[in-house]
Amino acid sequence: MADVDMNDNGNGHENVEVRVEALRQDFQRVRDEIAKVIVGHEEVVEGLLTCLLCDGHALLEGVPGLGKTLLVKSLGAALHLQFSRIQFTPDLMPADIIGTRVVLQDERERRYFEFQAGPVFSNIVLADEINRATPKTQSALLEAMQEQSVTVAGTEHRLERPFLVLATQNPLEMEGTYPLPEAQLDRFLLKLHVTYPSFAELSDIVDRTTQRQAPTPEPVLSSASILEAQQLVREVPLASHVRDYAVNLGLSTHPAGPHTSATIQRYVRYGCSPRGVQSLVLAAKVRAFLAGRPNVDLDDIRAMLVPCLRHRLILNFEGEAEGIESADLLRDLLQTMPGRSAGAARQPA
Amino acid sequence: MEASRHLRTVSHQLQQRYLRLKRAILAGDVLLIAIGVAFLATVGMTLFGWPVAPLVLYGTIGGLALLVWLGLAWRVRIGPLPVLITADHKLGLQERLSTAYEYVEQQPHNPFVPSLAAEAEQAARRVEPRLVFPFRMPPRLWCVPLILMALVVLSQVDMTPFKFEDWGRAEVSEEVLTEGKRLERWGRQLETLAQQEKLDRSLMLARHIQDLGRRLQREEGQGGQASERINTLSQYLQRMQEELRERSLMSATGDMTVQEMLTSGKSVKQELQNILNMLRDDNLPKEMRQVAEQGVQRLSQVMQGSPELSELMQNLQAGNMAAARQLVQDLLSKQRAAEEMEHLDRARRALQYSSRALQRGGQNQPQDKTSPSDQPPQRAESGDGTGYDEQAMGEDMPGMEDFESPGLSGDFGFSSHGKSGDKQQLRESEQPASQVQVKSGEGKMRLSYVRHLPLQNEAKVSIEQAVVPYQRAAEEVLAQEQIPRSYREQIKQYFLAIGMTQPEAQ
Repeated sequence: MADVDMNDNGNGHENVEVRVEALRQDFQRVRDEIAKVIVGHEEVVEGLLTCLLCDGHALLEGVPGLGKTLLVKSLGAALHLQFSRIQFTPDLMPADIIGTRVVLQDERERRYFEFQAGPVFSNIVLADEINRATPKTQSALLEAMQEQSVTVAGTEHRLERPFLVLATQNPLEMEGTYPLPEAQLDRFLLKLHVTYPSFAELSDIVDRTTQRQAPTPEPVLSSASILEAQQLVREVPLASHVRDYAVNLGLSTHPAGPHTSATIQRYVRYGCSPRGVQSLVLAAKVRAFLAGRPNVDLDDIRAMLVPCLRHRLILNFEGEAEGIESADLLRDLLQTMPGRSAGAARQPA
Repeated sequence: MEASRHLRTVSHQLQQRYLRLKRAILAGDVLLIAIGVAFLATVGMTLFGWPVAPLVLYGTIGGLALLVWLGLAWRVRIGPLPVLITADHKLGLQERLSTAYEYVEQQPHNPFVPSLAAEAEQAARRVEPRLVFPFRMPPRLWCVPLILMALVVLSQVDMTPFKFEDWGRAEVSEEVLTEGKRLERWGRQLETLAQQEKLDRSLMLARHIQDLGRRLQREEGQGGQASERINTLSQYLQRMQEELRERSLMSATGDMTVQEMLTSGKSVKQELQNILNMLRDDNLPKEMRQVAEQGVQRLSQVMQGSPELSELMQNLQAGNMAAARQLVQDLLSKQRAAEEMEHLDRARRALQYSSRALQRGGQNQPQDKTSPSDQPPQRAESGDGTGYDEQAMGEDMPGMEDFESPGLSGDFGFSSHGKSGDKQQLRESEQPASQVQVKSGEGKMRLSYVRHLPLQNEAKVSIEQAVVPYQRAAEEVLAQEQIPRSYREQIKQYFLAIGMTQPEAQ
């Protein structure tokens, strides 16, 4: 076994610890700033921060009036980042998102093309009601979300990091909407359900928004800090048996998986992609990082399974017909694979 | 400072604890199997009398068990990571120990490793191997003391060697058992002879006698019931003899002379068979015919006054081979019937002997308590005036002493119907004072028969062919006691009635 000197002050393992602790405190301040505006929804806020640290994107789903847009705007306000909002409508065109080339005229009256960047050129992009735009327009985001670049007229334009797409959609109004294709759904790191507030939360919301001027969040975290945190998160130790557990979970979302559950065998046509398992492990690392733990444990994996994979399962006809929720299938899978025996020595008996 | 000292110590302790427990439980399992095997072997020794010395047996089992345990225990291995993962899970350490161990080992330059290792060190100090791997006695191992106690009890109890053959014999009286054994033995002897001579009826009866002997040994019953059963079989035998006699009389004429031995050393049957083999060809060469005539002459010396032989000689000299062949075949079948009759007669005497012995058993019980194989039977003083040498009877079948199958061992033959050789004295007649040689039986009988073609619309199968198999089957069923007693008499009368009308019809 190699020896580790915990008092190594030279290059700074101790400095790293200090930086990690400082970042944690920064993120805690971001939570506090958002909490000034948003009542409750701690899990959704945690999910958004997870996406931010993972360099991923989030899809927020909830009925109208629950504060999805306000939540994203508050996050944008709490960070020293550029924020843009795109209201998706059926007549929205891809050029309205990524930008277009326009004809300009110089002093000598010579005309030339110049690229006018669209609203996607921002750090945080709020794609409000994304499912109201046509698939053609939705797909304009594909390259930006995955490659963090935009190609217009053969020219690639890099997006500034950090880049975070936060999309919202309404699960009730399906008329005149275009469900997101699987390829685009798979690009969202998390799918977060915005739930209805409790009595206490709703009372607080009413008090805050009807009695006095609503407070606005103060920016507390810079893009440099976020990028640094993104790098550190990837270094969070992950034991091999925990990784194997995550991989087995991913494989088991397929009907022919090794430890799959009976419900998945019955209702799922296709399980999660490898990108889903990557998201699961990365999100688990963020969870451990934000919780102040130096390593990922099995509970991190279990906790992030549903938000990471629920939008990646493709149900079969029977599942669609019976209105099966992917989240329920994943919870059932967790019952089937508790993970307590992963890599462990069996009790001699 | 060595950062992972406690972690390493703990992983080593956990490994040792795991190996100790695993090997101990493995030892328990091997012990359980060894004691189970020892118990089964002890049962075998105690109940079935297996000739094995207990010390050798237990020593062998113990040695083998030790070798097996050593082999299995040597193969038990466990790495540090699985035990640390188990400790993480059991103590709720959120994978700190296992992750720290893995990263300190493989990625020591990870920026999180120092803090992780520090936390793991702190957690390792609290790890108690007994809590991670508590000793739990597997329920199956509770069988070890129970089987051990049973083994000790079993080895202390003196039990008579158990035999399956003894089952159901508790209620069988000694004399019935003795007679049952004797009948079974005689049945076997008779079966051997019948197989050699190819005598179907005798073979069947021999098997009936064996079956009866086994039943007498196995089933409950006293002397009276056993005697009744023997009488039933004896009646069956008598009917078989009657049937045989009728058949042989119908198919041929002349007396029934058997077991004659010629000066050439061949039996009559062998000589007849030789002649028949020579007569297969209608165009017999002259030399062969002379040989056949010589054979007929030899037969004539023994079977004096036989009209068939005279007729055979005439046909041979006249060259009528077909008629000669038919005559020889008739003589042969007659000879075979006579042999069969001899066998059946011998069986009848055996049954009579057993029946009488059973009837006497009640009177001589004190003398019959011991097994015949242990003590020679005493000469019985029967009230019917017939004395038997029971020692001789116990060894040989009654009637066997006055009969030897041709070709078996004897140099010369004799007739059971009055003709005796030098050493062939009937044991039944050995005891009375009279030395006068007498002929027993019905004497010579002649019966002529008429062969004719079947009339039109008459049955194609002769009554002889039709009735006899059915009668035989019915008698077998009766002999095996598968028919209720109230129906037996009616069935017997029916077939007897058919049998009585048969000669008259012809």
